[in-house]
Amino acid sequence: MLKEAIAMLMQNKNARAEFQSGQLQFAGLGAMEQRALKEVFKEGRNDRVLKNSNILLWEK
Amino acid sequence: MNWNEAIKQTLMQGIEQGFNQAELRDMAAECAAYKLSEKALFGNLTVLHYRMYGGEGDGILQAAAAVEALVLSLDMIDDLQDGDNESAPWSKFRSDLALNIALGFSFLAQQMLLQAPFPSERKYEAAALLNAQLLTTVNGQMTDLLNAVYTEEQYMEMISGKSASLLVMAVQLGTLLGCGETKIESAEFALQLGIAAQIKNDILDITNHEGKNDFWNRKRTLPVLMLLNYLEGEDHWATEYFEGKLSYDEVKTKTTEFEEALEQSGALAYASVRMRLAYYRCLDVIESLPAQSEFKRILDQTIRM
Repeated sequence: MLKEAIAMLMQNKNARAEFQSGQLQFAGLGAMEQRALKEVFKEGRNDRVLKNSNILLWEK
Repeated sequence: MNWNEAIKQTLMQGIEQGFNQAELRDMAAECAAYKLSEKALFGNLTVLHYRMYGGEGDGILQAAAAVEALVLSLDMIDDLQDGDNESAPWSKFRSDLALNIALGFSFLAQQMLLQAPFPSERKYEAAALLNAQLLTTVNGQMTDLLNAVYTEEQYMEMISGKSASLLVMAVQLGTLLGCGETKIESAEFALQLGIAAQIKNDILDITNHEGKNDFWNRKRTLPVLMLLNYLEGEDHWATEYFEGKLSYDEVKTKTTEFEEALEQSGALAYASVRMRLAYYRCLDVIESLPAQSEFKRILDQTIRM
């Protein structure tokens, strides 16, 4: 489920926006996984899906 | 709060006492000074867990220094095997001498632990724990050296053995010396921290586009495995390179294509999510520890990477 969610978020800009706003949720994922996904897929710069700082850093 | 300087001084005293051959002593001191110029994470975790579980007095510094000596020994051997840390002093020494120094640190660790001011029975249990975790590390290292990792499950098993087991050893040693027994929650905390740290290292490596990273070295880390999975079934040069059908010289100009494939595959995102999940679990364990909030705060600060 996690891999499928990532594949969708990688390919679909609308899905990323809906996921960040809470309109889209992945029913098969727990709260921790949703939180991690949201941090990784924070809006990237220069049209990049992933921003280096999102990949590497974490906040409590 | 940290015990970096106290651990460093204790290790230096151990080197003075344990290594009486002049060159061995001087070169070992140079290695230890280099290593402990960074944060002594392992030794600090040993001291902190000792205190958290009721231990008192400075005798624990001897055990913490032993932990750092052992970690240094394994770091040196790992670097000698991989040949990928040119800045370390041991990479500039003759390799036969560096290997002997690493061996010396391994036995110095045992000696320092056995000479620490704790009851014999507790020291025996601590030494048994140290050896058991060390064996786990050596097993994990063998899998890593053979690059015998083909699935995510095998990767997680390998890093649990190779990387996380040293952290488990450091915290369990402090816990055991502090209260006379090991704790499941300590092991879980260290395991998750070790997993998060190793995945972070692997992400850092593959996103480093200067020189040969893990992909170009055909090393199967989590992001590399995810990339290869994504490309499976495609007639892609990256798969052929990894299978040895193409040489590095034939593909070394394809760095931009590699970076694009890495991002598009979702391999980095997946590895990053797995890293975060391990880290969140680690923080959850800290929250649930039956310890004073001050200890939890120090522990939280200590592990921030």
